[in-house]
Amino acid sequence: MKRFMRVITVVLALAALVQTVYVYAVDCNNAEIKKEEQSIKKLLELKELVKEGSESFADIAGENQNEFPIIKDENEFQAALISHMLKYLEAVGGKEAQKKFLEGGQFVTKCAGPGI
Amino acid sequence: MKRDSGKYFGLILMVGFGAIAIFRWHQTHLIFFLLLALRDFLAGYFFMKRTPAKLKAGHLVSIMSYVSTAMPLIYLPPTVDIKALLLASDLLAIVGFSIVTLATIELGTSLGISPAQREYVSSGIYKWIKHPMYLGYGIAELGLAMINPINISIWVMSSSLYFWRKRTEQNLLVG
Repeated sequence: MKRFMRVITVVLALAALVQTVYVYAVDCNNAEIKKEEQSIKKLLELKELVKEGSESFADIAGENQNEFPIIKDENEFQAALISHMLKYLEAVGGKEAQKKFLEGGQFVTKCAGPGI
Repeated sequence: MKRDSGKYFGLILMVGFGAIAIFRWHQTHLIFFLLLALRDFLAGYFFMKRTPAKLKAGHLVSIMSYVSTAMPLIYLPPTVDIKALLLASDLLAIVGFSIVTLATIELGTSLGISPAQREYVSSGIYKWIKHPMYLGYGIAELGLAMINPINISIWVMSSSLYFWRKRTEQNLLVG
């Protein structure tokens, strides 16, 4: 009986250790997804602000750009947006799907033009 | 031999803790709470079945032992938001309580809160560690000390009490 209880204890302990590490990993990943989601949302809001006010990125630099390194032009905006989107894709586990998508040549926009 | 009334208190206490552990497991689905429940129900059973002590410590020692047993309840919740520290704290709790559970299984009906002379146990985990119960609690509580600076002082006090209980137990076993 003692031996059986010892085995149960060791099994439960090992399972608890594995589960704790797994929960921690999932938690970290979810936090990363949330962070990237927020960054993308804020970048798009910034873009909207530039559009609405007909001001340039440089004009509102420092006023509404607290969360990012200051974005001064369209190129910097695009670089920041792509960087966060790629990080987001990686965090949601969509890296392989993205690769297939790009290799398959399906990445064609219907309205080609400047900006995003 | 004196009448052992403390065993009923131990039984009620441990079954109560076991029920809380089952409830927490139901809420969170964390296996750690199953481990706690196993330990608590086993301890409750052993308390119920235990034989009266041949020799008991004095009242002051008994009171201090109960204070020491209750001390983990005063640890404060985490103030740090560093995920790695929180993980380390959880892992220490699992390792600590695994040692405590193994010690409980070995002690069997010799289990007690207050130091007393019952059957001498030297099997299982007691082959390698002389006082696994206190070591296990110390490790588990170290995890709590890592996640809140105020808990460090509680851990120091708690560990000192464990050390003192260990010495008192040793004296009783020799005597």
